[in-house]
Amino acid sequence: MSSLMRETHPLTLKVMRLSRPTLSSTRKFPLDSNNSVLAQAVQEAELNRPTQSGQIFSDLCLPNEMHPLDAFQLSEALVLPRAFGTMYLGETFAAHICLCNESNLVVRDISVRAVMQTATQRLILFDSSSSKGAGQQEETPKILQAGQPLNLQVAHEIKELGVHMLGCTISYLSAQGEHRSLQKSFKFQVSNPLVVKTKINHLDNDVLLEIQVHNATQSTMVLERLRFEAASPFEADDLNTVGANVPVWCGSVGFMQPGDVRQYLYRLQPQLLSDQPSIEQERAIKYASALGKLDILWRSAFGSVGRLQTSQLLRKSPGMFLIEIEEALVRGKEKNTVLLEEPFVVRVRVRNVSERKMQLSSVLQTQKHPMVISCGAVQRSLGSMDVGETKELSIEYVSLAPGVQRIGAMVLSDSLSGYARDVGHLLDVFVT
Amino acid sequence: MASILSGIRQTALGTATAADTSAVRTLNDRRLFEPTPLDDELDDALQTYVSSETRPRRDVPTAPEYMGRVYGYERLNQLVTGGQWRGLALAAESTILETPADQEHKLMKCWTYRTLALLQQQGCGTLAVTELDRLERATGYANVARRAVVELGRSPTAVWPFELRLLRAQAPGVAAGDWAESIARLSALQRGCSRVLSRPSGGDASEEERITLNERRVFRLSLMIATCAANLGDSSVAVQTLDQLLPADSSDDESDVRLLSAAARLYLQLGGIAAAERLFLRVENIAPKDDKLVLMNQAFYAVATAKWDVARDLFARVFADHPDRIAAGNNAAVCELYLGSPQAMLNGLQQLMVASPTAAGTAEELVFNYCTGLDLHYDAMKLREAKIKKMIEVGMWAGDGFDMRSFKIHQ
Repeated sequence: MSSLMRETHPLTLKVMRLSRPTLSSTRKFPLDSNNSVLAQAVQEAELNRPTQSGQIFSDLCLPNEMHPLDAFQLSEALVLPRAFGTMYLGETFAAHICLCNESNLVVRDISVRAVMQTATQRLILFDSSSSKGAGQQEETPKILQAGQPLNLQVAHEIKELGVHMLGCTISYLSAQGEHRSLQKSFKFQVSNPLVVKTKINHLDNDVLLEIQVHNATQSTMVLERLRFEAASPFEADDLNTVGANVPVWCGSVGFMQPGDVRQYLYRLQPQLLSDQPSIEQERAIKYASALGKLDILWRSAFGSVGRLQTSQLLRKSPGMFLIEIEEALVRGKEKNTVLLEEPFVVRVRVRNVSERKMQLSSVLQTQKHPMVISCGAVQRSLGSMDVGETKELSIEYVSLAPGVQRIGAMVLSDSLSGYARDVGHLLDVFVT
Repeated sequence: MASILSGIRQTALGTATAADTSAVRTLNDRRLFEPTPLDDELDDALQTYVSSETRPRRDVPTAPEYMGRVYGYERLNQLVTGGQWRGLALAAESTILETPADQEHKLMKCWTYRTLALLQQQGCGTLAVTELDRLERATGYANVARRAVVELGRSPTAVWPFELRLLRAQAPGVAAGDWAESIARLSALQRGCSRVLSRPSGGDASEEERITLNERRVFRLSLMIATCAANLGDSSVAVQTLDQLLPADSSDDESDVRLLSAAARLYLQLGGIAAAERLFLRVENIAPKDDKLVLMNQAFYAVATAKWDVARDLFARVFADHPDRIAAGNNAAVCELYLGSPQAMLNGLQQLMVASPTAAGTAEELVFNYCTGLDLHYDAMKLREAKIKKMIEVGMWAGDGFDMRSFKIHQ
């Protein structure tokens, strides 16, 4: 809090940030239940210092106290904030402004204006001349008698990082009939409370979204709500529960200490309008880069609230090939498990998802997977394919080595447009 | 000014001579003591800011008035009750020096008073740690401890009163902020109590008493560990430790209401509003609706959800029904500030402090809140005068070790 010297103005202006009070910590007298050295003295001392007791009082008679709380740290007394503290994005800046007529004379025609200035905007928080302001239920008095104070409170939701300035301007008519103005600014910095990082993993059409949230403040907080709102065309499945929908982060691990990091996982699935989506719908899903937004609400000391919503979380869209491989599996075998040196057939279904007709052919690239050799023609023609049409291709293989083997390297090409897709591998098989 | 005054007042009583390096073998050896500091921040501030005509008379102990005497427990307890930590430190020291070495039980009790006094006095924690270390070594040589250590393999502190062992565990945190060491020592004590509980029970009355005693000790130690963890900044450990003490969800035992409320208040302090609400509701299912505990819980929850008028009315109601609940009166006044009236807060706090000068008038929380209100309302000379006036009022009744930061006088 600060003010100007009274030699120049009869009024003083003080501002106090109204962050939450907290319970005071007590000085502990250690006690023992039997043969106590100090118990009698402490009981009498607590009568003289009731606010220093960690005892919690009830009207209930509890004669056989098995849970003595004399060692409990927190007292019942609330203490006002000791310092301005740090201001964080998403919190609400609330302040009490006290204007006092410190002189012996009456001051008239008072008007008060409080403005919040940031790097990008200037917001009027309170203006007595236009009755604008939070927390004012009656008109601001225009006259202050000697020694009389004027109290008002302002609040502003912090939506920007960086330097903020609360500017207060008091205009008044002095006892000498002079129009005067008292101005004072209070500067503070707004910091980022949370650092959010994402990691994206693609699983066919689905997206596994990992979100890391880091508590960048200097105090413990509880993430009361962390909700992912998926963007079209996705819908999100929250994977952050265990058992019967019990949140992973609850109980004692629900408290995030300064520097703590929490990891959350969501599965995003495309919202399909039908079982057979059109090529346009598939294209919209594949090329969608916006995944959704995070809505975070946290609480810190004594319920102090902060709320942030991220911008759209983006991904590098996987895009679409003009020739899509819809299915590749080993015919007649469970879980793609085959026997060593025994032939097996892989069925591949391909689809023309381009905007024109294709004349499709495939060339196997057997040199890429030398331990699994193909039987039959290396080069095959699949013939003409209309837009959206699917065709099946059957390829016979024999594996020369056990274990997990990759198969199916090939090039699919369209002789009409010259387009070619290089398929690194179709699937993995387990050879026993 | 403070350093000049302390230079005049500090006593050399009990100072160890530098050249004497032989082992201390008795519990009343002069070499166990550090010089007892006799300066006090409130005394020094009153000397600085208040003229001698208006300065309140305070009990300023001197070494000669305590030297050479033996004090009974009643007198020592009076010094504890009055918060006269300097006097207590001197009285305990004198009693120890004047008590024969073979009265080890009495000597250990006096050491408990001495250590308590040093830990309560601002800035004397390191002295307490030093003396406790020397005492531990000396205990190993003392008559009772020798058998315990040599024949039974116990630590020298095993013969200390349990409260002295608790003070020894708290000392690193209080003195130097080393809460991790305090947790380690408290955990060691807890393991000892658990070992006692795990011994087969004979079923007689003394065994029952032993079990009850150690169960309560284990409980107290858990609370102290949670406190140290919170001081260390490890809220997860603090909450986890407290969670382990809480009764099952299905419990409707009346004796659980205070523990549930205590845990809930810690959760509120850390921002766990939803968790606190669940515990408050459990309390409301057990205790009567108009129990002052239930009302206080509701009031704290209202503070946490910024319903200041509800909180103020609840606190005021508790205070009206129970005028001894100074904290409720303080909290109602604090709510007035958040409702827009620092003057109402100042008036409320001043009324409390005038009505109960020894309790409310010397409560550091109330003084701090009051001075915060003064900072908001006054300026320059008027502010200084108001704070000095408050300092005089506090000086009339406060004991030693009053936290001068409560006055915010250097801001």
